[in-house]
This record gives sequence, structure tokens and C-alpha cells, in this order.
Amino acid sequence: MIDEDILKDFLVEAKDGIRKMEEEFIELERDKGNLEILKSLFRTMHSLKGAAGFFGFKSLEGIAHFAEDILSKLRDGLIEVDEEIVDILLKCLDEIKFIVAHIEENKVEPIDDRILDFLVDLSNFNERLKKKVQGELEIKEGIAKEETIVRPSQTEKVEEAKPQEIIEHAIKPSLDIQKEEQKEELKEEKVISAPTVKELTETHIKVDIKLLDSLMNLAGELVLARNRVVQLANKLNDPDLTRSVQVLSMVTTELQETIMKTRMQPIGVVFNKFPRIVRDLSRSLNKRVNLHLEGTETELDRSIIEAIKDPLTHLVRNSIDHGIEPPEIRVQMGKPPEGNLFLRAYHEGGQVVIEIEDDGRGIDLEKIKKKALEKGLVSPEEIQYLSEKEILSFIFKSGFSTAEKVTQISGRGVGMDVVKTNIEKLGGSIEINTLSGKGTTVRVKIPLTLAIIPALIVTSMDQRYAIPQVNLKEIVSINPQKDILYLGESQFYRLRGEIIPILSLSSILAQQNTKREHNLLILTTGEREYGLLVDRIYDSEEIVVKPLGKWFKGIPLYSGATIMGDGRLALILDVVGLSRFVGLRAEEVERAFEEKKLKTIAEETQFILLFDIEDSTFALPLALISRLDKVKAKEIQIIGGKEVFLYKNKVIPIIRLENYLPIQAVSPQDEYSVLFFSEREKTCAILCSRIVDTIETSLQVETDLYVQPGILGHRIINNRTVLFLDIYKIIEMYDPEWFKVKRYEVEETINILLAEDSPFFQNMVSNYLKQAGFNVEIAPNGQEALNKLKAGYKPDLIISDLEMPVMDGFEFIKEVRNIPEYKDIPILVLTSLTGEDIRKRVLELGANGYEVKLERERVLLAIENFLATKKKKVSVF
Amino acid sequence: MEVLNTKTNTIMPTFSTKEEIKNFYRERVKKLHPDKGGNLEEYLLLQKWYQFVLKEKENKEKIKVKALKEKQFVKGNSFYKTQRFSIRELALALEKEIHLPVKEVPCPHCQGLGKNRQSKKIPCLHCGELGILKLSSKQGDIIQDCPFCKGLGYFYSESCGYCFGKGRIREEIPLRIKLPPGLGEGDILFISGDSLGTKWNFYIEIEVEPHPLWKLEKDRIVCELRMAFYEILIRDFLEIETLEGKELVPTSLFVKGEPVIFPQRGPFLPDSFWKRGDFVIIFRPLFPKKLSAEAKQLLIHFSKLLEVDYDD
Repeated sequence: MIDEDILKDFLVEAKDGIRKMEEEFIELERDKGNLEILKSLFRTMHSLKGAAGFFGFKSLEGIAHFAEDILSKLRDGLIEVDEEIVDILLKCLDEIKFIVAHIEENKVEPIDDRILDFLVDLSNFNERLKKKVQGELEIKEGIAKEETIVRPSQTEKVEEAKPQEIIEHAIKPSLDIQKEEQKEELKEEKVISAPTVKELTETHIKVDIKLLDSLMNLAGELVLARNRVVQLANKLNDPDLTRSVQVLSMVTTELQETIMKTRMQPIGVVFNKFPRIVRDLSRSLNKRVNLHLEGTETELDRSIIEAIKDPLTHLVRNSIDHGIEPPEIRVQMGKPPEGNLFLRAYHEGGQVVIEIEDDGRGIDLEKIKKKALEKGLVSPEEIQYLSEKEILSFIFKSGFSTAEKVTQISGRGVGMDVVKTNIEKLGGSIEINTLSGKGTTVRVKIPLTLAIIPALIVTSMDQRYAIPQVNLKEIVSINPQKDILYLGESQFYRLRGEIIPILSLSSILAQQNTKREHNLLILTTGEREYGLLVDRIYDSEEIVVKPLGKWFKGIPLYSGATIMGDGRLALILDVVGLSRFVGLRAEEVERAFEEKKLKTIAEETQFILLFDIEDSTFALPLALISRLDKVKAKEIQIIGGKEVFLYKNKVIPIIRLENYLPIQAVSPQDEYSVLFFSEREKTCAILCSRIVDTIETSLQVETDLYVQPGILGHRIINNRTVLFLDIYKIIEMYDPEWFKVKRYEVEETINILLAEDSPFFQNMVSNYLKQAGFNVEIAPNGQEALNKLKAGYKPDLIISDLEMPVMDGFEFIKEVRNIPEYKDIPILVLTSLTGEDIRKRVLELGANGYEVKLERERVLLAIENFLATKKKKVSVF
Repeated sequence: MEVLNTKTNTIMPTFSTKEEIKNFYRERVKKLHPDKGGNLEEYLLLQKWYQFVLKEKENKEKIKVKALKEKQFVKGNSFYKTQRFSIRELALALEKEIHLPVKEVPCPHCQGLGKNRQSKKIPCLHCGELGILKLSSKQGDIIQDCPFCKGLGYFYSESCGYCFGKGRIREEIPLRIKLPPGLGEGDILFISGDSLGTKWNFYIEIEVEPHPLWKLEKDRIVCELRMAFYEILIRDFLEIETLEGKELVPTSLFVKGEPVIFPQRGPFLPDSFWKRGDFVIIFRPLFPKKLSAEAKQLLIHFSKLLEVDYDD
């Protein structure tokens, strides 16, 4: 099996060579002594022989071999060019032509006695020439030393063996006299058979790239003209005209696509060279590298493919030389001994991305910093403020290499800068991501520069804009008054259950919102989706991309312009640029954050979720819920006596609160809301009738009315009694094993003093501490806690809130640390106040840890850690 | 592998070919078919077993391994690696277990998230760290997972170092392949993705594991015996490792000084499982670099003692 493409390449090359040789033979007949022509003929014949040998075309190789032999003698001046020789050479060419034509048609060599006879003939002719040469030599050298005469005859012997080998069906050597006769016969035969040699049909020609470029431009102009004609025809509304315009339109499109194709090539052409490079390189470096090639069929402009070949090779060499470690080191680092190198190509938002990724040691940022300082590229003061990206960008400075020793492969300090300039010349960009010890990804982005693209034409405030079709996923007609969801100023749309942020084109263009926008385009940047509201939608058209003038270039909204059928201009919207406007505006976010900060400082508040189970309303801090979703009644199954459902390939058990609390059961519904709780890889869900709201509130609850395990207390919210759930208790009631944490020293009891004012948290925290096997003593504020300590209570650990009446957490910690006998008790601050400054402050005061209240798992972990270190200390002293 | 039939507590035998499986099934089905008075449950179990085993066999047989002498490329994604094979494995075209990244699975380190779960959390500003958005519309409020942070309330600052943020990795699975005959250094094994149910084609370049004595040449194995010159005279037999195992070879074969050829005992020739090349043993006598005066004397003495007619 021979690869079609390679064979095709061979045939193109062979035909090229044949044509060239034909011309040169004619020239040779005119100018017999021209050495240049002889040399050129020899070279062409030689490469033809080599290629034929590669494919295993034995007779072709044989003919080419003899012809080459004769040519070499002519070239070296051993024999003179005469009619007979040119004749036989031309005959060789004829046969070669015949064979090549046969191969092109049938993919195999012809099996023909005539060719074999010709080979024998050639071989004999060649031998005769040799004798002649030898004879001449003898005459020339006369009766010189005997050894010199022995030498040529020896070499001759060797060569003699060769023709026999090549002619597989070796024919017995015949006498010289017979040869002459035979030759005469064959000559006649040849005259008859020569006309049967077919003319080679041309399948490929070489075309100047510039010519293709100008064809491309012309096609672009044609498309523009076509668009204009189409528009005019539509106005006139003449059926005959419309029909012919339709044909014109179709042909134009096809023409343009075909021209485009002449220039496109799959990137596999380049990628397929790498297995060899990678293999040789890894061998010479004693490394083991697996190569993964992805997206080889991704098509790119031919000129771009040519241009990226060298930069890619350089990057691959870098990856193997600097990135991937030798097998011994990889094993030491816990990696498989074989490194992996990925070459990946794919389209992304009108660009082609090529990734070169290795799982090697990554780039050492410290080394780069050091080198940059050494080279004086940056001052020691400046370097502290540089981001990782900025540090990595030093790699692209010329003369920059961190390789310890300059190897043959890389590390000469020329390279990455050249790579970068080459890629930027193509209008592309290069980006490095590295993870120390894990690997490096180099991402090269190259524009497709498709001059003609299909695009959707839309209007906003009667201005036309084009949106590239590749970015468009779907179009939805909506009612702006009803369908748009708001969060502050930001707009969203719910598309089949997914929330998609949307933008209004008119408001982005700082025009007045027209309220006419009822067409929603769902766009994708490759990374995310968003919606764009526009006034009206027109046809999809093929547009010719024109670059923007310098005044428009800096605006991220536009990627180019185009001329429409009516001769007017339309701007092409940059979908990626537009996506920057998605979501909350920066100021808005900041404001929201400021507000939140102020609130948390003033009062301890939490977001709580309100939900109904039939007529009872419950509340839970939102932070405890890992996810909200809906489940269809029919999806709920009973397996092993438990109600469960499948969610993202996981079996999730369902907890019905009515089984543990004296409330009315959820009445059958088609669809239920479910709240998910996850901890340590385990997830369960609570079934509820509906979700009511989320509110931000303090967690002040009344604890006297509903004394019931699983309920922390109640409060009136919006004129409704809301029960605050103790979710940990409920889950424990459902499955006592659920949260079981293995503890080592069960035999000794551990006492914890909990200073906490909110009954809600008092109950919740102490509940889960007790579940974990601790003894808990509660104090409602810092003063009380301090009193307890002063009265002689000696806990193993103190957990304290910060916001408390009478004496707050800060004061309390300070006081505790002032009492000598308590200064070593670990204090864990548990708060809902977040922020680095607060954390710093409490640690400065002498607290040992700082955790957020609702992170049960982390709190327990922190406690374990404190107790473990404490124990260690004791055992040391 | 034996398949245990848990219900009936019988062990199903294992088979090497599909035909054998079919024959066994036909025999059993005659007894177990309910129409013939068999137990329905057992019959159904047999059916299940038959389908399972047959499918497994087919899957195994489907892995088509082809040898490429030249680099030829099939379109599509490809995976290249060099793998070491012992001379024995190549010469006898044995079965070999190789590991190939065939299956794409969610990254086990980040559970498909693409992010390093240990890295710093950056709060999601869109939902204010809540993980949900409360959206108001004319028909009332809707609470939904935040589409930006996917309901987490935060972003992880670093990508997962294992899958490089892709969330998916290709898992290496062990495959047993039967080597085609006649392979040597630099040849390429090709396994098409179709036969493995993946869009990747696999190319495995063969690296021959060095053997202390053997060399794999084109169609023969050359075994070079390096031994002190006198060993042939002292011993009657030499123990030589051949492809078939250790073998005692009479030393008399070596006295002529020519290579000893075991015909048809070398590697399988390309494209045939019935023709083999030769196994060639070349004896290379070793001579001591230095000879003590005494040893030399003894040797002279020895040569005088020896009354051999060297002429054959």
C-alpha cells in the first residue's frame, strides 16, 4: 500500500523531470559539449532513479540506472556525445514516459516483455560503452603500472554484477556477435513500438502564488459585484433576470470557493514530518517521547503552512530538549518514564490555534528572572512587580537562553525571538503557559485570513452590521418585555434551562435603547456563549473582509468592514471583542462588593435560601447548598429501600424532610425542586415543593417555640414563619454513618469552648462538633467565655466568633492570651467576616486559625490539625 | 480467563477460537433449551454468557495490527511511540501487551473541571460568590445557577496540572496484540482507530531490545558465542539459548570454524507463519591478552602432546 499523496507527489515530480529532460536532450543535440546540460540531465535522472527505487518500481529504476550511468560517463568526459548515445537516451526517456503514464493510471508498473528486452539491450549497450572506456584508458595509460589496469577491471566486475541484479529476469549473457544482431532486431522493434508510448497527461502545473493571490482578489471583487447585481435584480423583480442572476450567484460562489481551495492545505502536511524529528531527537537525547497529533485535517492557507514549519520545528525541539526530562528523572518525580508531546490544531473564532504541549518540567521562572537581571533587561526593583506572563515574555527577547549548556538542538539563544517575529509576521500571536514540574503549553494563534466569509447582516438603529457566521449558534425571537431577566442592570435570557447573559447592541453602541430589539442572536466565542439583541435580521451573505482604517483599529467592537451590495459600508462585529461587555459592568461589581463589605462589617449576615415543603417554609444558609436543580417525578426510583435519582451519572439519595419532621408531606408533583448537599465526595438531595427566594439577613432566630431535632429555630420573614433547618442533624438522622469522621484518639475526651452569640450557629456548630465526638461548652459572648475560663474550665481548644455583644472576639483573644496558663490553648476563630485584613488581625492577636463558619469540613479538619500539633508538642517536652 | 457462572456455580471453560465457543454453545443449548426440557433460568444464563464471550472475542480479534515498512500516514489524529520488543517476541511474532491511550475519560485529578482544586479561589463577581443568580422578570423571580462560575461561586486560579485545563485525559489501557511476522528495528506497527473504537490511529515504532548474544538481522538471528578458545576442546556440549529455549549443541560442530546454521529456526519471514529464517551461531574464540610464562610452557607442552592431523 502506497500512500496516494506521496505517489501523486512522485508523479508530479517525475513528469516535471521528464519534460525538463526532453528539452535538455534537444538542446544537447544542438550543443553536444555543453557540460551544464549534461550535469543537469544526470541530476534529474539520478533523482528519478532514487524515487523509483523508493517506490519499488523495478524496471523504471533499471532504465533510469543505465541512463544515469551513460550520462555520468558523458559528464566525466569518458565518452563523447554521439548520435547513437543520444538516440538510446531518448529511447530511455520514452520508456520512462510510458511507465510513468502506466503508473499514473494503474498505480503499478506495466509488465511488458518489450520493457524487459529493452533493459537487456540497455545493459549490453552499457557494457559495450564500458569496454570502450576501458580500452581508451588502456591506450591513454599505455604500459604504465600493472596495478592501475587491474583496478578498473575490478570495479567493472562489481558493476557488472549490478545490472544482472536489476534485471530480475536475468537473461543469459550472450556473445558479442549475437549482441550486435540482437540490437539490430530490437531497433526495428522499437520503431514499431515507439508510437504506442502515450503522451503524458498533465495533472499538475506549478502556478505562481502571486497569480493565485490576484485571482483571490478578483474573486473578492466579483463577489461584491454579484451582491450588487443581486440587489438590483431584486428591485426590478423580473423573473427572467432573477433566474439568470441566481445562476450567476451560484457560479460566483463556487468559483470563489474553488479558488480558495487552491490555497488550502491540511496542517497534516507539516505535522506528519514530526514523528521522524521527535524520534531522532529523543533518541539522541536518550529520552522517551510519545507524540500525539490532533486535528491534522485542519486546513490553512498554503503560504501560512510553509511559514510556520520552521517555528513549529523549533518549538518541538525546545519541548523535547528543555521540557521533557530524561526517563530516570521522570520516574523520580512520579511521572511515567515516557514523556508526551502534543501537537494540536483547531479552529477557534476565525483563527487557527496550534498548540505544542509537553508534560515536562515546565519553565523555571526564577531562572528566567535571574537571567533577565544578568542581561540587564530589567532592574531588580522592577522584577518584583512583573506578572508571570511578563516574565515569560523575556524568553522572546533575542539572545535569551536559560539552557545550561548549549546543545546542538537548542539553547543557542537564537530561536524564540525568531519564532515570535515569524509568527507575528503572519499576523499571529504566541502565548506560553507553564506549570512548574507539570509541563508547558505554547499556543500559536494564526488568523485564517479568509478574505471572503459568510456573515449574517443585522441592523441596530438602521445601521447595518455583519456578524461572521462561524460565531453564530442560533437566532431566537423574543419578547423583550417578558423574556429578559434582570440582575441589577445586567440582562439574561433563559435558553432551554441555561442562563445566558445578553447584551443589547444599541446600548453597547451608546445609542438609545430602541425597545425594538426583539431578535436575539446566540453567539459563541469558542469559550463562552452570550446573546446579542438586535433590531432586525437580514439575509446571510458572503462578504469581502476589508481591513479597518487606523481610526477604527483600536476599537474592540469591530474586526473589519465590508462593502454591501448597494455600495454602502457595513462594519463587521468582533464577537470576541463584544464578549468583554458581557456580565456585570466592572463599576457595578465594585459597588456591589463595597456594599457587601460595609454590610458584613456592620452586621453578621448570610444569604439564606427559602423553600417550601407543602405549606411549611424552611430556610437554609445558601453556602451549605452545593447546587439547586429540578428533578422529574418519574426519574425518582426506589432502589434498596431508598429513594434515589440519577444526576450527572451519579446516584443521589433523596431525603424527604417529612420523614424526620412533623410536617405535611410533599404532595405528588410532576417535577420537584431539589437542594444538593455535598461533602467529601458524597452528595444527597432534599426534596421540596418549590424554592421561594433568597434573602440576605442576619441569622437571628427564636429557639424557644420549635424544640425539635433538626430545627435550629424560627423567624418571621415576610409575614411567614420560617423554620431554620439543621441540615447536618437531618442528614445524620437519615444516615448516621454519613458524616462519620474517623478520629484516632477516641479514648480521650476533648473539650471545646465555643464562644458564639447567635443561637443558630451555637446549635449548628455545637451539633456537628458533638457528632464528631467532642465535648462542647457554649458561651454566648466573649465575657462569659472568659468567666468560664477564669472559673477553672480548661478546654483543649477554644472556638470563638468575632462579632459578639459585651465582649467581641478580638478583645476575647487578647484577654485569653494575657492569662499565662491559657496562652497555649489553641484558638480557632470562626466567623462570617471575611477578608485578608481581618484574618491578619486575629492571627496577630494570637489566634491559631481562622475559618469561615459554614465550612464544616474545613473546621473539623482545622480542629484535628490543632489537636495533632498540640499532642506532638506535649510528647516532645 | 475463566468465566464463573455465579448462579449455577459452574465454571465455563475458556476457548481460543470463536468456532470453539460456538460449538460449545450448540452442544449446551441442545440440553438447556426449555423446549428440550431444560431449565429456563440456566438457558438464559447461557445465552447471556454466549453473547458476552463472543463479543469479547470479537473485540479482541478486531484489533488489527499491521506492519508498515515505510512511513505511511492515514488521515486523522495520530499517536506515535517507540516501544521496545525483545528479539524473541519479534522473531516468533508473539502476543504482547502494550499500553495505548485509547479511552478519553474525565481527568481524575480535577474530576473534569480542568482546574486545580487546591489552588486559590477567586470569587465570582457575577453572582457575588453565591453560585446562584436571582433574576427578576415580569413573571416573578427565577433562581438559577450562575452561568459564569457554574454554580460554584468562585473560580480556581490555576489550571489542573494533569490535564492542562482540558478536563479530559486519554487513559492508557492495556491491549494484547499479536505481532505480525518479520518485524525488525525501525518498522512501524499500525493499529487503526476504527478497530479500537476511537478516532486516533496508533503508530508504534519498533525498537529492538539488545540481547547479550543475539542480533536480529533481516531474515535471520545471529548468535555470537564469545568463549575462550579451549572451551570447544574441553567440553562436549555447549548450552546455547535458541528461540525454542536452552539447547545442548555438540562442540564438534564448531571445530571447522564456520558458522553453524540451524535452518528454519530463526525469525518468521514477513507475511508468513510457515516459513522461518535461519538461526546462525558464530563462534568467536577469545584469547588471553597476556600469558604467564608457565601457561605458555604448558601450552607448548600441550601442543607437543597433541598429535592431531589438522588436515581435513
